[in-house]
Amino acid sequence: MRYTPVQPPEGINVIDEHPLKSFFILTVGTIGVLLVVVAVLGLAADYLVKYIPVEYEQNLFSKESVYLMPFATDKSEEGLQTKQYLQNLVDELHAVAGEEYAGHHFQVEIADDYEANAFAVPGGHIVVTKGLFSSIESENGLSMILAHEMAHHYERHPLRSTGRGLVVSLFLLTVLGADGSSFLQGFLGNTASITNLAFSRQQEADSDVFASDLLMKFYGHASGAAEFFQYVESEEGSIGEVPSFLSTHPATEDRISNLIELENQHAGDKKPLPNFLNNYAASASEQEEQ
Amino acid sequence: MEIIVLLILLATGYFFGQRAEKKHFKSIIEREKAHLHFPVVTMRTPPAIAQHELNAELVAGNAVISIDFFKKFVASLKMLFGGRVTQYESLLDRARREALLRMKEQAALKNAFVVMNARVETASISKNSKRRNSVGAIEVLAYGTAISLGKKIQR
Repeated sequence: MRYTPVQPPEGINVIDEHPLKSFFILTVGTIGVLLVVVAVLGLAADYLVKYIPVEYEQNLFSKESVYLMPFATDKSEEGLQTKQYLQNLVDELHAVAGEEYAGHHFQVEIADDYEANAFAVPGGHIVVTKGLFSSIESENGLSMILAHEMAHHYERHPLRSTGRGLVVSLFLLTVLGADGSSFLQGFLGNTASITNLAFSRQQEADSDVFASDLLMKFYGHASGAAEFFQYVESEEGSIGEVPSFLSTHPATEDRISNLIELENQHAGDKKPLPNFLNNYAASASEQEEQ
Repeated sequence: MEIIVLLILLATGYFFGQRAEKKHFKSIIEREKAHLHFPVVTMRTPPAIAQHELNAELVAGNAVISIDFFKKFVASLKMLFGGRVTQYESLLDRARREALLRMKEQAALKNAFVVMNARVETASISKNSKRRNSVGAIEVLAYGTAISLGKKIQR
């Protein structure tokens, strides 16, 4: 037997290919597939959520749900008075909203937070922060915000977002496993949440339109519709803008210009806020300074 | 924010990983050429040599090569779709050749002229054994029987 020393050629076990090539193909491919699947699943969830009865949603997300706890109104006299006032305002607005929304019921809560904000939580809950009261000047401005959150409920937006979030995260868990910590999961999760933002922006724009219509029906004019957004804009100036595709809300400027135009077309006298609400707002801003 | 961290990790993994791999392959090829005349075979029986007794001794070479973040990222994307995971292939190729070279070097120190019955085994050393599918580094062990010439047979 003879041994002939020969160096084996390269390129059999390892192929000579630029490592970035497969990186780009795979990343672009994965993101593409993911966007398509998330969009399809999201649309499917969105479509089906309409068929969940309002009563069922309200039972599912009842007031006793643990996740509502951080938004509970404080039990002070002013707190309860303000809550009652907001509740009445919502009920009056609801009365003029129209027949097709008769099945809805709303509960207002005031969160102990000094940043001006309001949000709709599944189950007919509307949460406003204490800081909100110092950002508006009239009842009309407050009604606009409440009507905006009500519009989210009428169109089932909170439930739709929850449903879509649930379906999308179930999908991601199925594909990537349940351990939740892998970097790949974080990476794909980020991609999925950016697609959700686009849905969210559309919902905000729709709710603005609905809310200003409701304001017109209720007061007979649109004054005060842009109040809150003007406040937000004056605050935002110092922070700097988030690019609109990375944001849940449409750019404030776009919203304001539409609403101001509407206000100018249908101007009227604004109703002042009740005194106890002004006091409550003042005490809230004092607490914030401390 | 998470995306920025990810990009930094990917860039670091890519830069250092590729540099180390290039350097390693260059060194492997050079050393393989230098040791080309030393045979390593998988035969189990030594050749019959009439004039000498033969000494047999175990020699082993062991190499552990770590994966880099870039390779790991691309490989885990690849695992979603299937196909040839070239990122791991180059890693295994490096480890196997390095282990065989170390075995040869050891055998040469023992004045052997051949390594018989050579075997190669591989194992993965995971960062966290509880987590499935996680490859931290791979180990390749090459071992065989080094044969050297012993005493001259007196007739």
